[in-house]
Amino acid sequence: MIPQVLLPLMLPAFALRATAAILRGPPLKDTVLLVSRVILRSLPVVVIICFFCGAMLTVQAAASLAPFGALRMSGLIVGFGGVREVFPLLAGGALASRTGAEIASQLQAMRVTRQVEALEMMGLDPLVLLVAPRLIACVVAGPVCVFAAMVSGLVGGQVIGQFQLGIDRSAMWATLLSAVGVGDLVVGLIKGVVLGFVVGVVACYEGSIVAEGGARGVGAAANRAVVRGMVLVCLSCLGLSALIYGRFL
Amino acid sequence: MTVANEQSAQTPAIELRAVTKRFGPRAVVDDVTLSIQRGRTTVILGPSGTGKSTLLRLATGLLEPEAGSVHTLGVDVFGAKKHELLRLRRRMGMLFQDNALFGSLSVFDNVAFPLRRVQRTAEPEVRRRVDELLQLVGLPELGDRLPDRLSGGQRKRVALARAMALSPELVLFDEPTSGLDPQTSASIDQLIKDTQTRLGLTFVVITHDIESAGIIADDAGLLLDGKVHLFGPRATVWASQDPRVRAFLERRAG
Amino acid sequence: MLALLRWPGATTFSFFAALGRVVAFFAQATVGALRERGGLAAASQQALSLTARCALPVVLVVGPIGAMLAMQSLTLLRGFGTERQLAPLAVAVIVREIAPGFAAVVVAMQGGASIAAELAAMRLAEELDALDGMGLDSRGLVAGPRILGAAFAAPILNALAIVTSVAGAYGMAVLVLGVPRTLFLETMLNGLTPLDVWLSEAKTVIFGMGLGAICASAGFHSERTTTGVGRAANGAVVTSVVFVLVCNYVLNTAIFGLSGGAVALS
Repeated sequence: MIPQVLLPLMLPAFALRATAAILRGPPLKDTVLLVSRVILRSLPVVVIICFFCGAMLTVQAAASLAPFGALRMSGLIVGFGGVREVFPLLAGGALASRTGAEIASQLQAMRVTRQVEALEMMGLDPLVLLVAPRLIACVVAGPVCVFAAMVSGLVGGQVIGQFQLGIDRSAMWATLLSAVGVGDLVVGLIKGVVLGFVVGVVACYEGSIVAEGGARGVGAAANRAVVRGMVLVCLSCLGLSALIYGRFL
Repeated sequence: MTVANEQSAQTPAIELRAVTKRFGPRAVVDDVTLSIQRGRTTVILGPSGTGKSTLLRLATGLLEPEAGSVHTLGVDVFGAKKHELLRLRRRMGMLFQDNALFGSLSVFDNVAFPLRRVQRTAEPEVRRRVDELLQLVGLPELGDRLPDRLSGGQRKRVALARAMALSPELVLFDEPTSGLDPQTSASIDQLIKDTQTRLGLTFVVITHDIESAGIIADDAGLLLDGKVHLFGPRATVWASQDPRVRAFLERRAG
Repeated sequence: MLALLRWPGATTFSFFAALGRVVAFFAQATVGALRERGGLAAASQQALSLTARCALPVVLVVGPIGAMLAMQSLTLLRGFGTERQLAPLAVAVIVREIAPGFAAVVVAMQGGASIAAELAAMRLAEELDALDGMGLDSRGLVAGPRILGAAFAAPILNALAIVTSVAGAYGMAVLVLGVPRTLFLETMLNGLTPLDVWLSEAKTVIFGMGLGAICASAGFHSERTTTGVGRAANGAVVTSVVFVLVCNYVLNTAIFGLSGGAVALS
């Protein structure tokens, strides 16, 4: 048994082992399939969530700015705050709740039904065969989701600005994009990779550890993967933003 | 057979020396010393929850004991390096209680899995070998089905075919007849017996099914409260007058 | 071609069918729970355990968001030379949007998934059938208290989220970025009315009921397999997170004015 004090170190240790497993050649076909599956399953959620969030931000910004007669500036707030913070964060949240939960419950179900032991009995390493492809899939899907989140969030803002607030179409686009620079896209890429990695590691970890047995254990693993994934997504978003944007303040 | 294998053929298939395994405060396996011979079917009997499954997992290195040593096929399981342990496991096959078939793969792909992933066998050879194995377990027609479209007995047969895929020297069975109806149990017993006689492998079976043990066992052991109560040739065990052995074999409460 | 035409129709239809099923389930379950003796007590107990399990995740999620909000708002406001507006702006956004939205998302993730998984596991173990077999109302007895519990717990967690998020913003603005402490504390309530707080709380009650019903229904109607339990939990989380954000937009539009009017509540 592992002493209680060492428990917080388990996740980083697992992250290291999982990363090392990536270098030991995970099965190519599974990896390609998982990458496409993770992207296809997460993208709709990301797009829907961020579209409505962009819309909501626009309504909220308009409500705050209208008293100052600065309704037209609402696009700026959405473009600035959305692209820098809100959309990447929600992309990470969507990834955690869609893919993270799925990976954790899938791996845990394989463990409960002893399929993982069956692999070990064949002399195969589940870390290479099961964990590494899923981790790669998350790391690839991360940036894709972040960019999709930015685009659909901005489109959400545009649609509300144009049709609900009655702002001129090209003016709305111009204000939305006026605060977005190439640097923000690079930051989005970095955030995407980090968020994908965090979500993937947490999900695989929760799916691999022995906690509760049986069907309840499967649900509990999914649950922990989502919540812990979301918490770590928020903390790493803050960390990255503070590191990157904090320097230019 | 290679020279090394012939030499190691002298050693027992599984040898446990003073092995103890605890879950929390309870010793599930308590100071067990046991030697299982090659080329025979050995059945370990015992009521549920007496550490039978734990014994199997100790023999394969899936669980680690608190004390004692385990030698399987001549290899010191807990003194071995990780890659040595993985290589040892490839010389064993295991049938899990709930079969542990890969749910997303067809019957054919399940049986082919160890051939493709472990041995990296060429595809025509995989096809030939899988057909042979499905023939062996009496399911030549069902290669395309998914596991959850099979009956319990059919699933058990697929699991046996998969366990036999890498031509193991030792096959471990965890409760092979639990959850099956009496008739299906009998046919699985027959399959195990026939396969063992035909191939002369070492089979180790964990079960609480006395009827099944009576058919397949060459040697038998009774595990009670984490200790080996009695071990020997089946006839000896069956003839024992020890009250606890009699109680178990005659399915009396007590 | 026909398939292409059929898809949107079929999707829309199944969406409304599912919506109808959740609404009907919600009604049966909550009415059943309120009729049951001790139903309210069971609901309060669910609310307490949910609050306890969600409190830490809420703090950990919303705190950093408050800090991020302060950091980026300050950058934006400096561009206009209106840094003094930071505290009222941040607090207003937190109370109106961030706290209720993310408190509900955490409840959906932590509580929703566990509700769905728990009920699905009970379905698998035939516990729900056993209740029905005894002539008891399994919806009212098992699902109802959990739905009501989510509705009770959400506003409590929202209050917690407001406090931590403002603390996060304060920490970033005052302790890290050097905004004067007195300025922050004196102006922070300027952008807010009591009505905003009540509306924020009311929103989370609606979120809680909705996501409770979605998750309980997903667990209640799950497949009877081990993978079915996982699938119920996953589906429930995603659906309820999307529900919270879509619902948030709809409620905002209703509260802050429709069709370009953009009436600020003041």
